[in-house]
Amino acid sequence: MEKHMAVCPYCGAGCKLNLIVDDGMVIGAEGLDGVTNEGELCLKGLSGFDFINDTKILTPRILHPMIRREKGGELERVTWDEALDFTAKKLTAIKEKYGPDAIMLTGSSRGPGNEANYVMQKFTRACVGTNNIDNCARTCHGPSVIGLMDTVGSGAMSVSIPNMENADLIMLFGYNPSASHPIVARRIVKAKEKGAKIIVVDPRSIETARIADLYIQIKNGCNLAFMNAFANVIVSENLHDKAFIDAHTNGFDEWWETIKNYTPESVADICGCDPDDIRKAARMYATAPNSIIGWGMGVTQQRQGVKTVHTIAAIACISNQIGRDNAGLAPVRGQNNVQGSCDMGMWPSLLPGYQKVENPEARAKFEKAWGLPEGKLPANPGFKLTDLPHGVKEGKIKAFYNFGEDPLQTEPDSADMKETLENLELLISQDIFMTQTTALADVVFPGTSWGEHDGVFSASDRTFQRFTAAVPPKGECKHDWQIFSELSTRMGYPMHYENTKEIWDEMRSLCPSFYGATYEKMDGVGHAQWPIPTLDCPGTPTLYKDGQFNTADKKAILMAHDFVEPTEMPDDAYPLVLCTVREVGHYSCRSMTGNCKVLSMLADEPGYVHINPADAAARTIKDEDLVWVSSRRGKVITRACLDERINKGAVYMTYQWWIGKCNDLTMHVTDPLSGTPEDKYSACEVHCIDDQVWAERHMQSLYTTLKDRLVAEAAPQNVAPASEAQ
Amino acid sequence: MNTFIAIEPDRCIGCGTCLAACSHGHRVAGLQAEPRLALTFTPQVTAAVTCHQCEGAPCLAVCPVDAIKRTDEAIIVNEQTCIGCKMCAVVCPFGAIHPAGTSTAGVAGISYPTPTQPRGTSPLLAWSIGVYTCAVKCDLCSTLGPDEEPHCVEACPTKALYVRDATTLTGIRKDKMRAAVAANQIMMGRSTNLKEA
Repeated sequence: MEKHMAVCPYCGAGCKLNLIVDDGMVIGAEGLDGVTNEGELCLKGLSGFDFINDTKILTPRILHPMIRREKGGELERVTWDEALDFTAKKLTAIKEKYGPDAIMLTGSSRGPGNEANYVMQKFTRACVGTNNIDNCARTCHGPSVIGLMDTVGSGAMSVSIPNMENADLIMLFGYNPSASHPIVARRIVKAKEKGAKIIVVDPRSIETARIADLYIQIKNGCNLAFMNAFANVIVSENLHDKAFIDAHTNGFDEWWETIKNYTPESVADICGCDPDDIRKAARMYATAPNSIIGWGMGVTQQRQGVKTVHTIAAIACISNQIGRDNAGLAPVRGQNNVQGSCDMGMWPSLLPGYQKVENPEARAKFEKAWGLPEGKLPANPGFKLTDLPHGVKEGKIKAFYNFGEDPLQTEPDSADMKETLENLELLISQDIFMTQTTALADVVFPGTSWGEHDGVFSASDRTFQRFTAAVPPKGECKHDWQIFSELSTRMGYPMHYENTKEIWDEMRSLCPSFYGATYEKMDGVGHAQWPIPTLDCPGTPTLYKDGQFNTADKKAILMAHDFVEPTEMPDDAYPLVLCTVREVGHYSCRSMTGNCKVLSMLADEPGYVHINPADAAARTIKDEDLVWVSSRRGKVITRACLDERINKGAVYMTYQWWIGKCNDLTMHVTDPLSGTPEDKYSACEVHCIDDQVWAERHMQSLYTTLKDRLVAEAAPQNVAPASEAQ
Repeated sequence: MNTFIAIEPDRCIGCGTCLAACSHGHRVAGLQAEPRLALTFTPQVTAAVTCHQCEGAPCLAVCPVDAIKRTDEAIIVNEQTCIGCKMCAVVCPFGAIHPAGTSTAGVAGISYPTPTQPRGTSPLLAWSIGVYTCAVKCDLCSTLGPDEEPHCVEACPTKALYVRDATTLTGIRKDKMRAAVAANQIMMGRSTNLKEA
């Protein structure tokens, strides 16, 4: 039995763990004393390892390269050489015919790690010649990245996860850490025990609301109105720090022109809460010695996501609750390496290290390092991931290279997304599992799984940590960075790396804020928290110390906006608000956790729709009944959970289910500033089903059919190509 | 006295790590993988509910085949002897016993069950084709060594679960009495440390 150090591949908490290996199989996981987890793991970290062994509980792993010679034909297993030649030829043809901007790529914020993403964006920019690269932050914390870069200069948490437990006050706004990041929720429990005040503002009475000193149940979709009123109270009651505002911010007077109109009384109806509660919360927040605001998808997956982040950042600045170890901003990232994807420049307007593509000096530096002629790197920001559907419809995007993501499961309006993927001339999917998206691909590249390769992840609080391989690659799986290098070489831009350290060192040399994060520093349970500009720098747990913001003049920019109501309001046909949330025991599209024995036993299809008992009674729905949920986009079967903790008039579905798939119902409308879908608000209706035994069997048959289809799609990989069989 | 697992609800975040650890630990020990704790949510409380290893254990008293035995610490079901009659589950005052069995559906780890009743059916009445059930309950991880903590207690990331035995209970009782004294002061309006939220 051996143990191999790794970092958990699920949420952004960055928990260090050992994978326990016996006879080539991963048989267990145990917590290591990492900086964020201190030896603790949640159920995903503890039980989320056996997918590596190809358990085939949900869907099989991909072990061999496959191609579809003709659109709509069958997948066929081929040699790596043939698969790479085929793909290079197709991509080159599309590039020549339509130009490089007809090719779109998405990075992977999951198991592959920073090195693989760095090589992918290098391939995109240097070889394909486009900035059309994005990552799933677009669908989650994109508004936080953009909103914080606009106002305070860095699109990341300003405090570190360990320091959260020493705050005097933590306010959670649209963020449920118990389900999203149990190991961060643990810090909040500890903060409470150390005497911190807790404020929770959320339409659901989440776990943290039970231990909160003040819980405000708001209506769905009122965020900006609430936060504007919160800011209004701070200034009206003279709780703002005028000296700090004068010295370290710009635009206060203009900001106040908008905010002054938002008295708590003026928004009481929109927010559905007592105006005095807003006052109480604002007073507690502004007067505590050190306050932290944490937020999540409840803020970002809304029509006004970026604008709400602007206001949150402004609130922290005007009350001087920022730039100290225990005071600041905490947008905790959802996926294990979504911070890393952003760090590595998987973003249509950013090179690695948050260097803007529009900046000619930055481009010149990368051109020189990458051996490109001057002016070769594209200067215009590329398409966003959520531009894909209309980009394909308008004929602007012809090829899509999907890396370790499952947009058919995780993007809104699946029917529309399916049509989008089918209308591409070329869909490449590089993944470890036969997902619903991979099943549509023209080229299937088997990457190595987490547990089969080395690399560095960026935890949510900017902490780089190394993880290592525990078992050798299965089948013909290749490291992701090798696949990109070999494809790039075939397309006329040769790349070659011996290992991930070589890639990491190249990346460090080009990104000043990451330069000091050497592999040596991150040995074992070591870590490096950026900014870490020099080899001597110990890392920077806290951003913006002494009010020094990362903007041009070091001052924060205060931005205020008027509230606009959500796009699709409930009506007679669809009277309920649908909000999509997260399953604690499953992760993202569920291809990994759904293949783990324990996790799939604890929670399986079709998931639940949480509904207030009063709304359920009005529809003669009982607890655990299967029900139909319908919207203007579609109709799915799921199970009702009668839940007194949620507000009347709204229902909540987790986005991990392939049968009870909430994204068949959600709407492809995005925040225009970030391109992030409004997943937290659309209209729906829930219907009871009279014959429950029929419904149970129907659900099972849908599930079985889907699993059988994915097994069938993967089956050609079991037939060796003729050239190899001889 | 009886030893049992208790929970501090203000620390519980309802994440279910205890269930995962319980399931994995018992599966590895060759027992039913069904978790022996149940997470229970009310508007005010989240807590894992499990067996109290009662001194006058009614489950043990009613078992018709002596499948339930008392060891020094715990009340333990012999899964091989149990006939799945569910008497123990009916009499348990905490709802801490329920039947579980190994599904016969599918092959190669892929489960294709054929449901025979709505999911809302009581677990005492529910059945699956071909599945022989036995009672599962907390056994305080009887297959572990004497110095090892039960899986759920060891795994809980917020340290909300404790083994309650004579030693820990003595300390807790004293703490509770002190807290009661303080609460009494508040009730009498003599509090000086009541802070406004």
